[in-house]
Amino acid sequence: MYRRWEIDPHVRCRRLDDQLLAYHSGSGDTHLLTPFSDAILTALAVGPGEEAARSLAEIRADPGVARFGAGDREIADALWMLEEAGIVRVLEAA
Amino acid sequence: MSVVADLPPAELRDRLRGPGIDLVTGRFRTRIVSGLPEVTTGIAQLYRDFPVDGPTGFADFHVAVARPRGLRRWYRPQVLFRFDGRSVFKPLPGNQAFPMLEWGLNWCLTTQVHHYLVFHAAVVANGERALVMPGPPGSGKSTLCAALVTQGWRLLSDEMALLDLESGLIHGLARPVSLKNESIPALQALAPDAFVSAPCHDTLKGTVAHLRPPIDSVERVRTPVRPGWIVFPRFVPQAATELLARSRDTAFFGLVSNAFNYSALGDIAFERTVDLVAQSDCHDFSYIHLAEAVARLGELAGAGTRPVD
Amino acid sequence: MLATLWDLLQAQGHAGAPPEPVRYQLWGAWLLARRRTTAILWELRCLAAELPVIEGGRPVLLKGVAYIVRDLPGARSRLCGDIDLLVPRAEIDRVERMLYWSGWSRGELDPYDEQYYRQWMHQVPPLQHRRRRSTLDLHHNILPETVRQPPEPARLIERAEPIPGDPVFATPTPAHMVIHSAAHLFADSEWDKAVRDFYDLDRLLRHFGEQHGDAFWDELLTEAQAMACGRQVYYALRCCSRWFATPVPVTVLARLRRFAPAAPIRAVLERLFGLATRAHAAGPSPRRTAASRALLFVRSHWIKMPPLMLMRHLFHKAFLSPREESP
Repeated sequence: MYRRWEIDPHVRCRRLDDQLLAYHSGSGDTHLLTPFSDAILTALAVGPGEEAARSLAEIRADPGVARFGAGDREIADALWMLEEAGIVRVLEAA
Repeated sequence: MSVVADLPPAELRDRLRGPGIDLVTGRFRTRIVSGLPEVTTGIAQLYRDFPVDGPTGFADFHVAVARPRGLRRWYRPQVLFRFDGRSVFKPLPGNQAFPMLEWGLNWCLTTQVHHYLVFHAAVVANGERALVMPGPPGSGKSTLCAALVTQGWRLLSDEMALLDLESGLIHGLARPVSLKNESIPALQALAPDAFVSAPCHDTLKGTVAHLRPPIDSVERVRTPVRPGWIVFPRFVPQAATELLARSRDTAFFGLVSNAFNYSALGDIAFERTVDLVAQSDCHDFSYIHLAEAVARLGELAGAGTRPVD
Repeated sequence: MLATLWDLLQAQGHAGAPPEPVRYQLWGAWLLARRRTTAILWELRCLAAELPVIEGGRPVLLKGVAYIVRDLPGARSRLCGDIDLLVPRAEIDRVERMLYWSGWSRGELDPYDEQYYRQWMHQVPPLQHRRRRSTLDLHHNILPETVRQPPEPARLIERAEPIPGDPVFATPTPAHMVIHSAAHLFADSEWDKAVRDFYDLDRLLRHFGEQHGDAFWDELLTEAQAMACGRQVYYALRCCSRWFATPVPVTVLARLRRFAPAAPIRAVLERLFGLATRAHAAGPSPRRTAASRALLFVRSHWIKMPPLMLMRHLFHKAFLSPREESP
């Protein structure tokens, strides 16, 4: 089971000073992200032509995330909460 | 177009009672019908410098302030506010007819307007920059607004900040500023020459009066202003006057929680509110004396804004 | 209907035509409608995960939601209210119970209103999601059970068409959409939305007439008969063709005539419908139109409730209910 995550297409993000805000256009919820979630989202942000989704390992390896020194479980927990809020979505492939 | 002051009192009264008048407040045109002397007086005194017309052409709002049909027309007479012919609030005692008009006009802005993002905030301007003061009733924003306006700031609104969804600029209507209870004598002490209407007692909000908008503010009302400062006021009797920096993210949520149509407008509301906050210097402000408060905010305006990322 | 107007002006290239203040009002309304549509579609996704599997067919989306989901012309600028969902009567209690565990519960009603809803209306009182604050109208019939000839909901559910790509919901067939709209308009009490409802009917008739031609009209006639809604469909098509010049084939109108009441009643009722709809749009009502609206309101309630119950219900609403009365 191979899981990858990407930012939900309903979400638009803006930065205010050093804080990241995310607006979900489906639910209408506006979220303020913790620095850790911010780093994870930044790791998931794709440039043009890039592969859309990232695996846990790829997220952990991202420099912005790595500096928190977090392990797989912490990252997975954060991803789960972001998923609940509708900010990221998970793609699973066998 | 003539202004209210140009109309002989009898003509104003007759037009209000009959076909009504179109009162122009900023970019909004309100058709008002009322046979009540309190309303005629209120309009004559407080909207003295506002353009008046018609009634002719398209009006954004159609309102009436009148006695109810039936018993309460005569016995302990009451007053109703009607929008498009329908009563919107519970009736109030007859002497509160003018405050009722003002509350009704505020209601129109908070419920009928969706081409602006509408915040529950006072807005004044220094030069071409806005000072936006969000806050629920009781936060003291109207009182502060009144004070600033009597000391040279331009009035945009004491209750409703209108954010243009296309330009990101801030609009106001420059309507009379409402004062309650102790703020009435406090304002009169600060600005003895300012015109304040006769107080109305025993309303739901206590004793209520209105400050006439400065003629300069009324004449410049159609010019919107750029973001400048967002200040969250609190009247705190025991504390000293204090202006503290507030992080932009908390200012953002403070604004959104004082917005009337943020949820209803969706994405565009999110984007424009972020823009507004990003371009503003944000503060919390506790104060006790009006004169000190005005001075402190004057310093803030003089100091300019922090550079934006 | 302001958003609809904006849409129409845009589509026909006349966006710049109205004066600025008018344009802004229309645009503002369109912004609201756009947000509402997105929110409803999202809400459907959440709801799909919260509904239990139902025996006897898929749950059927009704009215505005159905129009949006089927992308019917003008649906997205329609300012849809709540989600209306039809399930078999036998399932409604179970569905409500399951929804409770997903966060749905009834709002606060005084005990009389609640009894009225449960016993006589065709739905449970509106449900609200405790966290999302969205509302859901759960129905087990098209019109309340107290109506003398209640239409057959089972038929609508059986023939409902699953939505492509959606594992949960279905929408009524074109004929059933029209029938539901017509039945709702003439037998329900909310005349305030009359203009919008007639406009919806006109759009539905034009769209389906164009898309499916005779097959649609034939089905409409068959189903109107089968669901005992002939009279409402008759009124609907007559009024639409008269006021909106809806292209209803003459033969269809002729075949519907047999559902009409006796001629004098028909003339009176049609004049009342006309007065009530037009008067509301014009603004403050002259006494005659207020009376005609009051008469229709009584008629709507009469259709829904036997006369004795009606007096008690009206009396209660006027005096005991905590709601505001406007003079």
